[in-house]
Amino acid sequence: MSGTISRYNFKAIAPIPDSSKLIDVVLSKTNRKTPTEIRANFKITRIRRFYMRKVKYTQTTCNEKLQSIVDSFPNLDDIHPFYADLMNVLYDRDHYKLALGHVNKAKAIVDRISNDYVKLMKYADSLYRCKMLKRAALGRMATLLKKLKPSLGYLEEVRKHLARLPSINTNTRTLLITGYPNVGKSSFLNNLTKADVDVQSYPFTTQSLFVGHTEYKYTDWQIIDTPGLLDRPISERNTIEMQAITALAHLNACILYFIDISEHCGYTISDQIKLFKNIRKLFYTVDPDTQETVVSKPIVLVLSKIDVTGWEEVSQENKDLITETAEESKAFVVKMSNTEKIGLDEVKQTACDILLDHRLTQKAKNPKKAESILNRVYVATPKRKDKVERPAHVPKTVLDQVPRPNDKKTVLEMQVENGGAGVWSFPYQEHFLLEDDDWKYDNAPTFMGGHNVADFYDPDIEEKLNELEKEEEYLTKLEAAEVPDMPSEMEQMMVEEYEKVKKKIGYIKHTKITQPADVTGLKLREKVGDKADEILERNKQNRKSLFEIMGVSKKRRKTGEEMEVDQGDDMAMQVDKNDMSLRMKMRDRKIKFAISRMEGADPKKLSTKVQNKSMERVRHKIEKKLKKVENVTFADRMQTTKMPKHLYSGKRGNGKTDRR
Amino acid sequence: MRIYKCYFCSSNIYPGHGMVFIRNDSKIFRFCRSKCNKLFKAKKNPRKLKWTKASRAARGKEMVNDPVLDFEKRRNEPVRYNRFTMIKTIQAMKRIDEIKVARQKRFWNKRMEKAKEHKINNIQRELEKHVDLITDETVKGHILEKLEEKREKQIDKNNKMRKKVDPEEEEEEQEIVEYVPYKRRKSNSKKKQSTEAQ
Repeated sequence: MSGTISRYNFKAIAPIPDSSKLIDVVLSKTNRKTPTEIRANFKITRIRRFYMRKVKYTQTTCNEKLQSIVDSFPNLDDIHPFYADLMNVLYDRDHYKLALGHVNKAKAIVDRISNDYVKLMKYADSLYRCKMLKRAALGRMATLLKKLKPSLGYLEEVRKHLARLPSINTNTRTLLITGYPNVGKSSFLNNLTKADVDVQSYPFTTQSLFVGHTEYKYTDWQIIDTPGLLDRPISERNTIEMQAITALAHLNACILYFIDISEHCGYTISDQIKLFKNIRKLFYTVDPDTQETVVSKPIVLVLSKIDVTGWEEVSQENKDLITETAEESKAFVVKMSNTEKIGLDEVKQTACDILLDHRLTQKAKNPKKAESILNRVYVATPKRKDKVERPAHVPKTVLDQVPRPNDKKTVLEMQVENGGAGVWSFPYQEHFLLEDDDWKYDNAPTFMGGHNVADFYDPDIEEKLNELEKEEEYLTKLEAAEVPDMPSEMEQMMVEEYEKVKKKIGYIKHTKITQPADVTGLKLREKVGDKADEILERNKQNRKSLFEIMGVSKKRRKTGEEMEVDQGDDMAMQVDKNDMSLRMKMRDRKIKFAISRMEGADPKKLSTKVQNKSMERVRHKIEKKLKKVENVTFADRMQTTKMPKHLYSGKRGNGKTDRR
Repeated sequence: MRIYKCYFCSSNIYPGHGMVFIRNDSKIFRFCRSKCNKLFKAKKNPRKLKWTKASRAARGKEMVNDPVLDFEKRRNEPVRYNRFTMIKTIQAMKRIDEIKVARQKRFWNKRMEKAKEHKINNIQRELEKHVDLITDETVKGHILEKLEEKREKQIDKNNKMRKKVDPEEEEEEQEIVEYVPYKRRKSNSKKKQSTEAQ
């Protein structure tokens, strides 16, 4: 939007390298970024190209670096005159320009060198010649850069100082503090802002400009503290004073001229007034035709150190002098004290107000500004479309100023009474619109018997049900009237008989599965012939005896065939399995029994070797099983069955599988 | 709160059970348990899985079109609450349920009529197998008669079969037929040569 930048960023200038460092950088870059391998047996064009490239590369790098240096420094003609002047005061414009010019020139010379040597290289006929030419070129460039040493040094110093200059915004609202040394300028700045400027009793404590920031009427204000001025002609002023003069001359600010009425600074009031008159040329001109003063900058005469000598104590002469000067220069007079902090606000207010006035008048005078503002402003004037009055709505209660009746509670209050947010909430049934208000709080069921009540809810349900009942009656009558097919007598008898015989049939089927036919007998018969009967009989007997000894209950060992046979046997008692002696017996018997089952062989007749081995194996197996059963106590966390049937079998009903 | 019907097996879904799946075409599928959900995801057709109500209805095992079932239907238009109507509804619901059960029983009986025949036959067969166990004399006699009948039938059948077989055997003589090689087409000369060689 604005053409010029009000705030310069002098801190952004890159540090300037030392000339030797610059040479190093340039040369090392050339080494790195260009090809390095070259041999004498290459084609001459290739060799030439290689070396030309190096020379050109050095030239471009050099140029780049020097260009960046020159660009980063501000051009004194392009910046705000305040800064230009300030830089002139501090760094000497000529010297500055010369230094930059030197650097610039170096660029041009580097170009010329490289051009020359590249031209020469076209006529080089060997690697050695090319190399020497390149060496010469780079050497000359390096010497050139070496010669830049003082300029670069100076520019580096300038850059350092420039970076430390206070950032003064030349466009914004500024207050400028001036006066003799030791008058109270820096203390004033310290009082008004957060700035921490050195305040000492010797003159020229402040040696450069200092900036502080405050707020007034919701905007930011700059307050610039200057070094003290002495009454001298401008040609005789030193650098420090010149800075103050620059500020006074170029900044569009309100001038606060400090007068020490106690004369503790070492100068009389008349001296101070004299100085003021000398420098006021900077801020106002006298129109020659009308002899009127045209104020270019608003002025405030600040009478400081009133705690030491009050205004009354000042001599009439001086008083008159001050008032006269004020009138002449259209300045305001304000009294204040820094140490007692009296009148600080008054000073600030007056200064700020008059500056604002001044700025506004200036802006108003500028026709372009007015135009730009007017362009952005649009005042809408809506037309009435009908004659309906549409005033602002104000609720009746507000108009009547009637307070809410006390007996009516709010819902929130009720909730709090009844226990709070999570405990009680306002019943939604309260606002139901029903035929009869008694029904509001009816707790009707949502579902019943697996059906949704809402699905049945119908005002006509009674009639429909009556119809259904009639139908049902009719159907039941039909059913009753139906004569069922009586099964024939024979069929009935058969059914009865079947019921009786069913169990026996079941037994038969069961035995066929569990105790299949005595196949071993057949095989044995093949082998041994007639002796088979003997052996089978013996085995049967053995088995019987074992059963008896173990004392297994009758029911278990009976089959359908043997039912009648075993009626007479005794020893049908349940044995206490915890009896040690019996357990041992059982173990042995079990082993013997297991062996006897093996193909109907008599255990006594088996060979000792086989007997021992087989016995061992069988014993081992049985012992293992028995161990588990034997040593269990109530405290043991033993799983008797790892997969109990009732949990792991059967189809899943309408339930979940997490209990598998 | 509502009791929904499972999309797959048509069982009741009480609050706090099952899962809902909403498809991109905004159709809602409710499942009573993960079984139904997984079968649905495996793209099984409920009509083909015997245990679902859909399949039973399709096979005619369930009573489907009966005026009793019209009493329970999803109503989309809400009716204002009336205490008397509510009382009547609840009482009616109980009665309707009773009637429904009675009708379902009737339907089932009709289905099971045929089974009675089969039952008698089964019993008869079992008794025929284990004739020795029958104690009642009349029944035993009857069963033995039946067995005789069966045997005779079988004998007749066997005889018939034998009659069929014999004449054939007499007539047929073993004919020794020369093996005639299969005539190949002219296009494949190589193959022809090989067969001829054979």
